Amino acid sequence: MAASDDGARDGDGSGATVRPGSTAVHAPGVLVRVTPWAVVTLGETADEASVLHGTAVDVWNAFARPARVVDVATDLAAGYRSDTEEVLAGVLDVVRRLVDAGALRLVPGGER
Amino acid sequence: MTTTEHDRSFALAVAAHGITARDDARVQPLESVGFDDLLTVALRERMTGLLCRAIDDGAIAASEEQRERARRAHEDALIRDLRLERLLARTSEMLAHEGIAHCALKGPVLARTAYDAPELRSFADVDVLVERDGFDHAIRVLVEGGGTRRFGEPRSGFAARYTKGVCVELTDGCQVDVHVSLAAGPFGLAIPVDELLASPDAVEVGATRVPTLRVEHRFLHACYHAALGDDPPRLVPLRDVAEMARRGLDADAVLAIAARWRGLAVVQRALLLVGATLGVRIPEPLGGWSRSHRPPRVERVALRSSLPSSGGYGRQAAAGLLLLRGARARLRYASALLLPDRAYLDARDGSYLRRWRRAARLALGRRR
Repeated sequence: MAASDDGARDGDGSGATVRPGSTAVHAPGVLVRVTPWAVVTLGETADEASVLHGTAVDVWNAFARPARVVDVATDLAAGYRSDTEEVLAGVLDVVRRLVDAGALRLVPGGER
Repeated sequence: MTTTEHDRSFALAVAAHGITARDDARVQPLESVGFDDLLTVALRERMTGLLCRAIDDGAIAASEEQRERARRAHEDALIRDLRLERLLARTSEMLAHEGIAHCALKGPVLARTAYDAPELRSFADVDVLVERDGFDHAIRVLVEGGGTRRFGEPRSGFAARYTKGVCVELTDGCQVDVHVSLAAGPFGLAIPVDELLASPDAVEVGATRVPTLRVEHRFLHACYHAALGDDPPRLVPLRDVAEMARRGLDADAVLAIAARWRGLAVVQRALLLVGATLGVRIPEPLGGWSRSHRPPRVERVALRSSLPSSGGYGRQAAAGLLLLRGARARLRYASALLLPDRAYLDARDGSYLRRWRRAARLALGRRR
């Protein structure tokens, strides 16, 4: 995943404890706008909106239903024909940012 | 065609993109007519979503750099839209908590109900219609939450009874327009707002179910906004009317309600403006009705007084007497206008005599 593709504008997440085995899903109160080139999200309590481009949009879409981070990374790596570990690192970063921004919610007990 | 007309033709092509066969701008290079101007208009008219779609569809020729600028501008618009939607959800929750009957109006609702996708319809503020009895309470709650009420009123309770509403400005620059009617002036006074609040629909905004007007009332409000709001009319309100009309409406129900509101002239003006400005054909039977209807004289007079070019708030206020039903209601209204509170008078006319002279000039049709 190219760094320029998976950035989340205005997101500076660092507090969420997200692991490869964590399960996440779109947060219930998140507000979303979808364009052909970007997804814009605003969590219920977030100070700033997040603008997702490129592969970060794929990550966002993958969590429309509860999914494990590692499973999403594996699927995306297969689709991109990329190294799974490298993609996993990118997915973890995006998920952390989106959890911090209130756009994704970690599912309690979803750690496996 | 002058440069200005040329620029305008691009703006109109954007505003009508996707709902009319007319795409005048398709073959002409955008560089020659000023992309900056088009982007400025798109931002001002809250139609960056339509601009991006028109570029992506090839209806507007644009360089990669221009396409990217349009996209960035639209992303900023969407960020603002979402902040306003969140404000709407919180405002609605707060009003519901206080037991104040209300409905969300305009942008956030139309974006979700009238367009192919909400991304296509941006907005500038939050609008809520509240019951007259709850109006002062609603304003108080918003002000206690950090907002500042803009504009005073002639007498305590005047805004709740006779105006379209007031604007509350929040510390982050966002605004909540609290309405007690759907229009200023005489047409607003003739709308039975309690009926609107008694049978609402709803939209989901995040996790909040926000009450809205039902579809016929939404359409009529879109017509009122397009026909009475600005001169020349803004493009997105016209697009709102066109979008709702093409999605299918119970025309008989719409016109029956408009007749009760004494607002057929307003609906007709809105539909004709859509055709004349955007080149969009209004589906039958509303299209044919708009071309053949002859509104009652009282509505034509009220319409002239209600247009932005008519001379402003004073003339609109005076014209309110036209459509109010009942002598007592008219007397109460005239009394409130002519005998305002001292503080309001001091801030405007200075003395009752000066105010009455101004009222007389308005009544006689003079501006100064």
